[in-house]
Amino acid sequence: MTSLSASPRGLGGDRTLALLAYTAVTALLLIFMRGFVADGPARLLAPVLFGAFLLSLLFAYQWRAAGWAKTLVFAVGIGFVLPFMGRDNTSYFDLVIQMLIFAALALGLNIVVGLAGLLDLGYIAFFAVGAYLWGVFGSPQLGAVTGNPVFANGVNPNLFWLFIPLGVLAAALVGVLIGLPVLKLKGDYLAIVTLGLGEVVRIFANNLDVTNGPQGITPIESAPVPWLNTLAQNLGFSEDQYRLFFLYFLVLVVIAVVILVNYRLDRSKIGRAWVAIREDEIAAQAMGVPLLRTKLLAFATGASFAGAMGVIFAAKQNFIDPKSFDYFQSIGVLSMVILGGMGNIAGVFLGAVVVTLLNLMVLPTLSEVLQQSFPNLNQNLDPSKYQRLIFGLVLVLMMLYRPEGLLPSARRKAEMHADEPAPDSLVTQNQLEGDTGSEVFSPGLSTMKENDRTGSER
Amino acid sequence: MSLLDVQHLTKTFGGLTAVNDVTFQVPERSIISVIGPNGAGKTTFFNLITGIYAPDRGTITLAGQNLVGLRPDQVVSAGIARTFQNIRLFPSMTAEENIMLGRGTRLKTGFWDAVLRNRTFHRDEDNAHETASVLLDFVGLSRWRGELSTNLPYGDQRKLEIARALATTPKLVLLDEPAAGMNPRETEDLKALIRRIRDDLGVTVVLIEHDMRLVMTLSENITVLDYGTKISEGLPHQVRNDPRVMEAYLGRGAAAGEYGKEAGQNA
Repeated sequence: MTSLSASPRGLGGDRTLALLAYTAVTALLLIFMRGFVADGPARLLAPVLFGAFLLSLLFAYQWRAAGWAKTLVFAVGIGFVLPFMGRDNTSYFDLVIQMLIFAALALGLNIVVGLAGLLDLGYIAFFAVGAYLWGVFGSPQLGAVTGNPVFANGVNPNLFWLFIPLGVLAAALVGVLIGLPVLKLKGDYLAIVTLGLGEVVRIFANNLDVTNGPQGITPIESAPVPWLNTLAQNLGFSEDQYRLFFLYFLVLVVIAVVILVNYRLDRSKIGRAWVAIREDEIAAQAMGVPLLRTKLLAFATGASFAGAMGVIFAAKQNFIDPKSFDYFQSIGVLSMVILGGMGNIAGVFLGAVVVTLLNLMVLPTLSEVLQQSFPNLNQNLDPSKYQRLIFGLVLVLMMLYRPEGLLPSARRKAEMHADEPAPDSLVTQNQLEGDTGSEVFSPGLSTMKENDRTGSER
Repeated sequence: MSLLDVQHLTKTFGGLTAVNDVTFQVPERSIISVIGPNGAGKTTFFNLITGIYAPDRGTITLAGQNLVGLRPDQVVSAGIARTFQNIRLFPSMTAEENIMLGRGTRLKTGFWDAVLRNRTFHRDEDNAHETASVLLDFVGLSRWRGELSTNLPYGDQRKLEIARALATTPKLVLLDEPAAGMNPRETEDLKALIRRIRDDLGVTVVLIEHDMRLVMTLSENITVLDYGTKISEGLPHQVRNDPRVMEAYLGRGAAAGEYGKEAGQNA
């Protein structure tokens, strides 16, 4: 059936030309249509074009094409088209940075849920830890808390660089602290406790003076990078875009590190131990995997990604309050992981992009269009109120028809479809070989059916 | 001298004494069987040795090292590996990955080694691949190397589980009903494999088994448990003719008859 050694990519023959053509067409359409002010249903054109262009990056990853063509598509797409769109319309910049931040969160949660199988419903708490860490220190809030006029504008903004690793450490530490008492629990119980602890962090933020309670913290500094600002100025970016320009590239670097760490851990003794724990805790332990330490490592690693992005998120938003870290955010990140394809880095990344695009661009535009099309609609039927409903429907349909996610990992795919006939039928192979197991009841082969589709173990 | 030394091991669950004052010794490089009727406490006995349960009383030492109070993974490091009565492979891992996972306990790769891909990481990965390749060959599953373990035929899954246990470089391997569900030919293969584990690898083997033909022809020594108590111990022919064993398996009346021949087939 599914051999893990077989490449999941490589659809058909070489598609270098198709890739270049598609990218060129979508990029040019996107750029030339950017000034097109549409009305009515045509307003949906912008999200469609943007989505179509983002697809070219996916194709560059997915299709079999010459290496130089892939590199070219990535370089032009990430290095030119996206910043160019951002310069023209700041909301694109904001959207793309948000996508990348959520992608890092989803990749962190992917380690916890997708690899180690620990259902964490309070993951956003670690994001909050990073965000509030820099939020407090990088804003006048520090002066207000300490009463020290030296900190009237927070610490030296250059310390932003230090606070990214500090955010990693703080979040990892909180991960271990939360994990230690909690990780003895399994499955549903773990989910409930993490849900509670996630809320505890938010409620702390809501009630403590340090975090300025529900009013939140603003303005939050970002590191000054004069040379990058000069560059941005020369490239025609406006002054209020300098920060986003800087953070865009910073987020790209951080996410590259996140992907590298994720990939390397996945393909090591540690990654194998995580998967083993997810599949069978008792067997994993009996094969020498130290349960608590391995789980804590998953928790801390996942948390640390969120911590780093929390610091950057605070700098990008310029304002944070407890509402940014509520329960729905945790669920949102979880849905990215599941929708994209649990356990697979590219899938999770795609999930984050798709969900963020849906939530921040497609669904709002759609509801505006609907509102315009039916202006006499009752206030209660305002489509903008149904954004979540549509998002929920997308999730439901997805789970019904493609439970393994958009880009599943080979492992998950094998689990989800264990009862379906194999394409290069192994069964017949066994029969040809005669006696091997064919006449014996095989519990090992049939157990997967119970777990089919739910993705849960036992 | 004995490799594994278990003294007065006792474990109760509520009012049930699952293992009662069992003393058990395993000489180095031997093949020992633990038999007994269903519910006799055999698997509980294994779970106590491997640290899954903590004993209420008694001592367990492996080559002089105390095992009581160690976590299961520490017991593996100490040198005891096991297989399970109901196969517990990792279904979404390939045959090779299952063995590499088992090898993990002998590898030193930590978080930073894996992230930085330094020399330790590469040495460990090479070691794990090498171990997998040698052991797949040893149990005769080389052709399944890249196949998901869940796709393997049943008998091969059992062998893979044994290979995974051997990957931990154990001094002692505990096999819990390795022949369960196997046809006679597969059982013969298994018998040869167990002999080779001892002869070629020098690993001591303790097995729980219901297939009496396998037990009688393979074991050097047999321990019989019933209701958690050791009721007999000795060479295969001694145990076979022990009236207490016949009674445990067949009841008091039947024990007077010709137990040996029937039990030789199936118990």
